[in-house]
Amino acid sequence: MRMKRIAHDLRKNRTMYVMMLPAFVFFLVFSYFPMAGMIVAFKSYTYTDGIFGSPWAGFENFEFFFQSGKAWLVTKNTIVYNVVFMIVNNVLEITIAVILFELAGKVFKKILQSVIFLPYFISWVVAGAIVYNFLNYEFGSINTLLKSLGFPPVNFYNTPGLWPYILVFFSAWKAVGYGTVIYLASIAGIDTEMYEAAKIDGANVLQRIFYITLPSIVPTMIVLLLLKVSQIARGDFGLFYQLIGNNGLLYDKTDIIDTFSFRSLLDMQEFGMAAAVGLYQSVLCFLIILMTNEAVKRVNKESSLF
Amino acid sequence: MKPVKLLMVLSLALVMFAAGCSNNAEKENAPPASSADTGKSTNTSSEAGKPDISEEVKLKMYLVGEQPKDIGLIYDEINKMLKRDINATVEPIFLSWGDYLQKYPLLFATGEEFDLVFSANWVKYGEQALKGAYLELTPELLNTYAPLTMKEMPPEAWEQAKVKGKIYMAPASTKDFSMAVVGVRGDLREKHNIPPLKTIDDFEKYLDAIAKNEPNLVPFDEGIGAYTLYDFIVGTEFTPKYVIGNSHVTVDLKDASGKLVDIAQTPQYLEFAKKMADWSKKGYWSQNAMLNKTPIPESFLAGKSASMAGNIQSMSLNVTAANQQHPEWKVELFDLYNGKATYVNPYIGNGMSINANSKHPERALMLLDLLRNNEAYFNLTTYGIKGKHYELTSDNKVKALGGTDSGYRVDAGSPWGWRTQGLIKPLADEPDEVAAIKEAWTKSAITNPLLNFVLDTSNIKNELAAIKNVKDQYMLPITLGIVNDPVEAVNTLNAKFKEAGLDKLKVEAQRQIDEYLKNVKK
Repeated sequence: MRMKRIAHDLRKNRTMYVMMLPAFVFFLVFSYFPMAGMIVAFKSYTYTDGIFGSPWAGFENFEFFFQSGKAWLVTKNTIVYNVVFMIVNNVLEITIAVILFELAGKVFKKILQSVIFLPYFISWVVAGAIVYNFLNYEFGSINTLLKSLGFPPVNFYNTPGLWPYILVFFSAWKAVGYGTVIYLASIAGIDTEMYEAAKIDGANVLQRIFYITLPSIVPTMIVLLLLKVSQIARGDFGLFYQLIGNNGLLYDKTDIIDTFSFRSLLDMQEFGMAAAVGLYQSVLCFLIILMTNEAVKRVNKESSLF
Repeated sequence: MKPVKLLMVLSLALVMFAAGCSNNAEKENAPPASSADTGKSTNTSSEAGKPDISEEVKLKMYLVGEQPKDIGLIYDEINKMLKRDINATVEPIFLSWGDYLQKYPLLFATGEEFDLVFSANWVKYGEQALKGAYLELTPELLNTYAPLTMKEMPPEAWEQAKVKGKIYMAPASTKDFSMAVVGVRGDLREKHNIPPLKTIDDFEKYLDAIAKNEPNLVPFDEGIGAYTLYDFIVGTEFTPKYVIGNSHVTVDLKDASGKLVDIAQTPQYLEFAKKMADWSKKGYWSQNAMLNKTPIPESFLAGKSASMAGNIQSMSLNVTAANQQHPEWKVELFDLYNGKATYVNPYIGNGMSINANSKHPERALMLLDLLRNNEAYFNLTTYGIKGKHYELTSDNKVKALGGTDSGYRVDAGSPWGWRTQGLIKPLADEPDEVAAIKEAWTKSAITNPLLNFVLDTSNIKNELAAIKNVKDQYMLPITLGIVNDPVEAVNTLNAKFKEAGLDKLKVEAQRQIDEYLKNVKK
């Protein structure tokens, strides 16, 4: 009986299932199969025995992370930075998207959009070099400017307190263009009749923004937010590693789980320990996304992911 | 709802299936891993005559370094001879400097089939061996397939290559030093009336003169790789052989008792920290040295800085390069050890191993024997093609041809793994100072059984990882003098080391050293 129903469903929605197949296979191969390898986090790995044959190590691989005394600091840094990036970037993205939408000049609009989008294509390696040339103590452009104006130069790379701002700035510089496009697309999908009706009723620009545009893109906002939250315990390795590098003076303010474990394990070559940190991040992400989804569900059932 | 459930069940089944598959694959792979046995069995059958080479084989060899332009020409020649000698061909594959640390362990983890591989203490020889990366080289194997190597190798080199009593590497047999020398611009030294350098204080005078009088030059362009000043100032006092990586815990090779010294807690280290803070404030290097990834010699050769330092092998090449490009600089090398105790590097700083998964370990060993002991093979891989890449002078020195444009410069094909004392030749354009300094160091070199000691890290990995992080955050700023208060910085460093569990490591290391010394005396 049940088999029949499934067979019927498969036949009826055949096209849909075929279209879904590539994505299904992709996740199966690249996300579900490798999950079995996760057990290496609990193994004392040797080449000859492989992932499944190596002896069990219990929670030994997790010890270094908590023994370092930095586990709490880097976890906090990772999550706080991601939350700040999320808020700042989203506010900027929505603001810019709304302004671009309201702008009249088509050419100017396109140019502006391209300029904002451009940094998205610059790799962090290159960006790191650009930042270095801005901030260098002896020949950096900011310090050259300060000196020529008669101010004392600032040693950015020795001043941890400045880096939260610098990092937030560059994260926005790189990410905002991409987010803006998504919000623009979402705004473009709003029914224009609503705006026409509002205009006839005498609504001004601000009223149109606050009563039509913003409420209409709330679902998009929530989906993007949830997607970001699902990555909240994973830092942007490129950003932090390329801008900070091996500069230990800044670590207390700028070290995240990813850079910390990368540095600690790079010359240890212990797959088990690296997997342990990855698993820790995954579990953390999983818990946070569950909580966020639950919260969203309470407020607005339609917008939750599952 | 139903189809979703079906999909989940299906995917779960597939995951389990895949897991089962790879499990089987691992098991199938296991036997060749312990192929010391297979080696032995073929060995007994062929003991009567020569090894059986009737079947032609293709060997793969992994090396660390950048692939030079003319590598194809070199190995075409090699393969011609190899085909004739042992009915085999070899293909070298290079792991580049940029990512060899990540890729090296993956070679073994993926179970890839290859035969020979470069190994060294600085690519974690001991740890890789314990993880089962390499084939054990038993005396039977070596005697049968690499008899010349057995004859040529100094016994202490085999001793050093032992991991838990088993040999997994044929080390290079050259005697190298890792002590540093400084190179300065002779023209500037004379211009500012600095006498030839003998001590670190003389060097300071030179740096000071540059800092005050040559505004366009950085006196000493330190970066994240900084270690030489530490060597000159602290290393000369302790003759250290570091026991615990990423810390300053060492044994003093002058002290036969093998008692551990934590240099970071000594007054000498405090003096060093103060001096570096002073030098950094005086502008001997950039305030942003923590971000400078350019090696010092590169900055020096580009004309940006006034001095360089590094180990004598690389400094020798750098001075040669400088003399070619800027003879007016009159670059000079100085030895700041000046009679203080030195030591010869462990042999396992370079070597070759056989992959545990190799299908042809016998032939791989035979190839290694040829590379190490046959002059034709050795010269080709080390110096290139005669007449095209190098020329021998009348006194049997090597003169490299083609300068920096050469398609195969000396050592370009990463042949250090099979470098042998008997076949290596001096370079014709080597600076005169080099031979003199090496001779002086050979005289002042001390021996100590602890030079061969290797720490077994299997039970202390967590502490080691924690310590690595302390080093990055608190040690480098001291080395580069980028601290406001050096005394406080040193105290913080030691406190953080303690938190990370260094004390436990010291106890463990001391226990291993004592045990090691007991066995040596027996």
